[in-house]
Amino acid sequence: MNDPFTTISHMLESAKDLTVEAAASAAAKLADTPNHAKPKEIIKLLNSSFEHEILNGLKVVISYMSTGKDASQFFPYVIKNINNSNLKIRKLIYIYLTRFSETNPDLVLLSINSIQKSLSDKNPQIRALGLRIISSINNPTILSISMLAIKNSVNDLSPMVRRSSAICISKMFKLMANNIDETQKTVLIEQYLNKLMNDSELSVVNSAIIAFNNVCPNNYSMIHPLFRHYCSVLSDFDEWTQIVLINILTNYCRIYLPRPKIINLAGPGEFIYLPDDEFQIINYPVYEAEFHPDLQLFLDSMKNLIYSPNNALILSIIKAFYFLTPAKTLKDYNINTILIRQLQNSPENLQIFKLQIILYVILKKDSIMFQNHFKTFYLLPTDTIQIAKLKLCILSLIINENNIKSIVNELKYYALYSPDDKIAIEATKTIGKCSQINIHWNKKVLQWLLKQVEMVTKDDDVDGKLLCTDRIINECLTVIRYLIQQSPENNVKPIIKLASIIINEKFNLNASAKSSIIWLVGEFTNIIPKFLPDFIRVLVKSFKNEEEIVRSNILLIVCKYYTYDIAQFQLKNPETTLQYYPRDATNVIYNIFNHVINLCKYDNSYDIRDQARMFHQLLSSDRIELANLILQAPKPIPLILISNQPILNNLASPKLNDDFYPGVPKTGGIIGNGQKIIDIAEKKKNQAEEASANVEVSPQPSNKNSFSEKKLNTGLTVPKSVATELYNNGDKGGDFENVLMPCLSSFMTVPQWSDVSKLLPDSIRDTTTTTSQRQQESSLMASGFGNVKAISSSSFLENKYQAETSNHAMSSDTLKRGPHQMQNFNLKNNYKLQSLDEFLSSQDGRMEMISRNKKYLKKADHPKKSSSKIEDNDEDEEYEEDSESEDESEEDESEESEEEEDDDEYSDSDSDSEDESAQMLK
Amino acid sequence: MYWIRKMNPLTGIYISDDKNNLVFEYSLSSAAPSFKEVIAKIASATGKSNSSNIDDGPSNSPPVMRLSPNEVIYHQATKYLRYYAVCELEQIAKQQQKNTANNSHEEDINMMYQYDSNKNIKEDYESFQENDQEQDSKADESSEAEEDSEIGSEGNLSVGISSSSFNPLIPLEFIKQLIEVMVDYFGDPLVPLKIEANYDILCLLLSEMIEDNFPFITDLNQLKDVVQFEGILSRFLSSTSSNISKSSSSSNLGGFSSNTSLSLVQDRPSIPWRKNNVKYTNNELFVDFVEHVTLVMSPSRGNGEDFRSVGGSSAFYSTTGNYRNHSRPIISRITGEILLTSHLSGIPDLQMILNLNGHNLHCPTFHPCIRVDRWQNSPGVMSFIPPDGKSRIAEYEIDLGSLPHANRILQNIGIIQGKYTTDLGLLGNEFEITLSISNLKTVKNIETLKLEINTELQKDRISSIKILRLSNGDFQFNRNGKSEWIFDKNLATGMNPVLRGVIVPINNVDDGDNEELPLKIFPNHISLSYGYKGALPSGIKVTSLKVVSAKGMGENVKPYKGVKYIVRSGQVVLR
Repeated sequence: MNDPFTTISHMLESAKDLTVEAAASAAAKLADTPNHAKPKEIIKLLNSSFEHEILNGLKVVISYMSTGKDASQFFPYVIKNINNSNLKIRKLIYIYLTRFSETNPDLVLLSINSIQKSLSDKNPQIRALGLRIISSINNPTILSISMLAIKNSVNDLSPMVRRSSAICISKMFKLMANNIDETQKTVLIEQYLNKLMNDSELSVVNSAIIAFNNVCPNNYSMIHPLFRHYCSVLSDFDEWTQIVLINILTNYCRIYLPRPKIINLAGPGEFIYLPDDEFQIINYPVYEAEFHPDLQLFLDSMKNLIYSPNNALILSIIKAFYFLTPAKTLKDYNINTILIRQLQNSPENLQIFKLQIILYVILKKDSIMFQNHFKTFYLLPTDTIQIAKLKLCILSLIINENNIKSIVNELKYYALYSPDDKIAIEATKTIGKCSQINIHWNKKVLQWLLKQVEMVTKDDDVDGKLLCTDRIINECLTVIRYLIQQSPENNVKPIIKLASIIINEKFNLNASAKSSIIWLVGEFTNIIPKFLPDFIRVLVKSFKNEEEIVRSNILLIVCKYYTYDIAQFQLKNPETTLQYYPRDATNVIYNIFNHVINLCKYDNSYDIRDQARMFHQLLSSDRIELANLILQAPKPIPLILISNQPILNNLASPKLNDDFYPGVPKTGGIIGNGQKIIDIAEKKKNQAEEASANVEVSPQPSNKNSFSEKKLNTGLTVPKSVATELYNNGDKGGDFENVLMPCLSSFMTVPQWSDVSKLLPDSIRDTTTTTSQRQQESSLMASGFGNVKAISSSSFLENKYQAETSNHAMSSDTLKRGPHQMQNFNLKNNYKLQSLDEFLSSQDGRMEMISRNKKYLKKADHPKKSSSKIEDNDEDEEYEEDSESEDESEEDESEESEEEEDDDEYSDSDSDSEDESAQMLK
Repeated sequence: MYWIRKMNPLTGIYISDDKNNLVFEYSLSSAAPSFKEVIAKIASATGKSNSSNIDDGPSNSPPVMRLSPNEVIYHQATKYLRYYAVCELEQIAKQQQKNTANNSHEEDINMMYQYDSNKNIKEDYESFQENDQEQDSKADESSEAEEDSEIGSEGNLSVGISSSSFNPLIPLEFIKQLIEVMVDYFGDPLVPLKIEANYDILCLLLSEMIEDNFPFITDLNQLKDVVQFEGILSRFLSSTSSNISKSSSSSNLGGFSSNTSLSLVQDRPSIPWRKNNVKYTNNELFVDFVEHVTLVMSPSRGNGEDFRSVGGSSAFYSTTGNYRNHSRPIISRITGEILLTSHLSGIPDLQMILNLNGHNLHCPTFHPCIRVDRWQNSPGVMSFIPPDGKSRIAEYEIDLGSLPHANRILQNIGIIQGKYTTDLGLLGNEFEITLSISNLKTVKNIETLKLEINTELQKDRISSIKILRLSNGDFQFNRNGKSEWIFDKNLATGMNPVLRGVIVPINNVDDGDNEELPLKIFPNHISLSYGYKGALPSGIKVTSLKVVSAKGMGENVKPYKGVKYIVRSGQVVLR
């Protein structure tokens, strides 16, 4: 009696919580904003001269936006307030502009002027906001304005503004990619973005890296001088930047660093480079991985990041290790533990992702690292079918001699008691897979499966068990078929047992199970020839009482046996022709065949009638070979179990898999090569073909060691057919479960390792060349990019010296010093004399350097003419041209302000460049 | 010359209520689809998939869906709200290829295409192996496709799998953090009304959180510096006293005057996760430990025959100890989180030392503020400068399954232990659930305790469950297979509630004389849910919590420090 009250009071309490909350928010709503004001009122508010009224008006506009109503009608009234001193108003307008700037391109231009003004505001926050607004206006006419804004803000004192300028660069590329010409792009990237990436404030570098990733992720020449620096400060970056940066650096390592060496600890001195396909090639029992120092640096920099709660970051880290290190290092760095960490407590979508990543690692690296954690992959009653599938798949891959017992027991429980039928079916399949570990388990599992089949046939359902087993019976039979098909000779007993289950009349088997068994027995005609006639006799007796699918299969088994008998006859009497085959009452088999054909000819089902006629025609003529081809063709082993490729298929597209998995024969009775002639739609045929093709390609697992063999089949990439399938499905908008996998697989790709064979001949130098190359390029960066003027004004020779000195100086210092200090350092050492030896030894590098410099000069020709003054003029001209195209009414005003601004800004940049050149002269 | 890519992890955020009515939408450009379009696409798409597999209800929409070839939507549902994030995949495939052709002479850039072209060749090769026909058709296609502007599937493939597509977990992670921020700003049960009242704040938040279609500032403390929340009224009604003092202080700082807020943001301090100029009159520090127990116990049998293996011969559970009465834990795991509520002025530096009770936490996750090196050197020592306000500073997981003995595991699953026995009674068709709630000084009572007796699998065959004995609580039979045994709130400890029952099958009603052979049907599994405070199952405790240094707090200030231990059942299942 007590309890209803508690429940009610409980409910009341939560209801109370809710109402209080609701009252609170409703109150807030009433007090703050007239949410459902009419447009006129809103416009009135926006036109007001009071800040709070404007703010209220904006709030309503925002709520229009947020609820999907059309808010573009307020555009001019909103824009009008852009110069308001209240920061919140500005921000709201910024939000509004990002959304609607495209809808009103002309009106946006009205506001440009005031935005520009804000760029020179004293307050850095307003400057930053101005930049962000400018960058989100998608209008080609303001291109030059944005360029100018970026140019000025790159050197801004406030890190916040510099950060915004990085964002601005990235956005410009996104919105106006087609309007920016090449030279402008070069300037943006190589001058501005590069500068930002070298910034001393990490917050600026954060955004610069993200911009880099958006704009030119493969322009690794910019990363060269920064690689070590970034590695050393990796953990100080923002978590989102870390995600991106790790990705960039991973790609970088693949291209510019040699593969790690895998050193065999058992055989002295023996080593190979980390191959792409680890499974196939590394067969050292114990090995040590030796990394290039820079790669080691990168790996170590991620050591502390594995504690991050950000799953995306974890994924990036995993990717890095996955592609850069052998399995052992993965384990050394605890990557396996972070993968399974918190697995069961994550929300469903995250769990699916995590499980897929684990599967990825298992399939392509190594399963050993998860074998001790097998309990993590046990199912919980609440797991959805998707999660269950993945978990079961993983379980089947991590079995070994030690854990198989508990795993199989657990699987049996799922097969029988899982509330979800689909999970039960999957579990049964998985049991089949697990049985592959050795003969002992093979037998054990077969026994268990037969028992389940038997169970279904029992009438007295004492345990309520029938229901549990009934749903998996088809799956059981498929797995049985698979197990038998691998070595039919050793499995005569099970076949006979199955047959006797049917014959025993007190068992009432459901039709589909029955037909499967008949089909299965028919498949092994040649193994149990003596047993079969009797079996068939019993079946035929009850023919009329059976369901259609069973009848069809009886027809099939009779035909199969008949052809078998004819074939036997031919074997025995090779010299006689088939005409002498006794086709009369003395031949029992012929009699049965005739009887069944006659029965079938007058069957209710058109299908069976057709089949009967066809077989009759085929078998009574002399074209027995054709019949043989159809009936005795070897059938493909159910595909789930053969290689891991189908597992990927399975993940990617459950539908496809179901077709791949012929399971219990459908109406046709056979799915295999021979069926081409007979029936079924085009598509199905193709798939069957594909299936059989697959069977041919992948070696049939032998009983003994099939498990390890299976693994060898996995390539490093997702099979193309799968990928095609996925993309096609995507177009149709069809199979949604497929989306996860391509997302992941497209993320899990990296460039090829740079060619080891190219590095190999100079195995000692290769590490040094890559480093020195990097340093050369880095010094080029420092001297070439940072101080373009220096290059152009001074002679080549000077520049060369400078590059070389810095080259040597930097090699030791890159690591310790920040990029800024690096530059200064270079400048100080510019004209330091160097020893002749050094000079000579670096001759080769020098030549390359000269040629490179030439190229840069060519490239930089246009935007970076010899002095900064010219550049300014250039920009000025451009700018005025553009502004003329602006609205007439605004022109005067805007020009004025432009000039003002320009003067200011240019004096700034002038002084900057003067500073620089002054430094140079020292 | 440069690679132009449109790859936007976040182009739109949508929030709807649990019936998919739009509550809030935030799109980053006018090109982003409206929520109506999104929902229509989802509906048509899920409708399609429904026809193929009927079992999935529409409410159960998949977490990630593809809306169009280059748009993917992420979906996350909470109790009252659903969150959607739309992201754009790379799409300018053709342009990129053209670029390759035009600029192949550019040496530096060449590097980056090398990979792509390799990839192409490799794919050709693979497809050749697979199918000759396909190869032919593909060759035709690709020659055509180069002229066509239409994105052929082949072209799409070679680019779709490019070296730097974005991390697919970013949108998910972003939604997670967005929810956390919203909870902190608007209060715990996030309901549609609350969002409707705060469109402007939410928009401002999102404009800071997303920049350039990528997460920007997501740290709560940093956001609070940038976006002030002045909904004092709503705060007032739903907050504790400490919160009020805080919010009033923040409203003093914030408000509408831009100048004050500006001076705040001017220079970010060296500690990115801590708010600027934090000041409290009452300095307080609360640490909450929350542990979730996940436990699956193996079945245990009564004196009857093992019902699960007929004949008891081979196969099923017979191998796992048919007549043993003990049930063993199959899955046993504790996940814990440490929540910190810090109301400390200035920049305090804290050190918390935990007694880990012999557990190895392997690799917990830490808030960036935790000094990982210190932890690595001496596990259990957490040294950090806390973020202001509420934050989750650590999450850990203990796999009890790795402990050597079952007894050891049972010591670590808390004060509530359940036992589920079947095959009892004269006819062997009764089952019994025994709970033992042990007495512990620190635990006053069990707050909520509920058992779900799951008979879903056999629900068509069961007419009712007859209760033979019920010592505490109340039993409710439910026809959908989820019967419940509910206890009073705040149940005293030191009890041993028992439920003994028998399942009445449907067909048994007809033939009453069948008593010789009663159907042995038992509940599939029993799930427990409970919660209590006072002691952690893992035995982890705080041994000391010190303020090592406190810049800006004042020397004589001794902050109040409180620790709370909370236990929740994750999934506790008796089979």
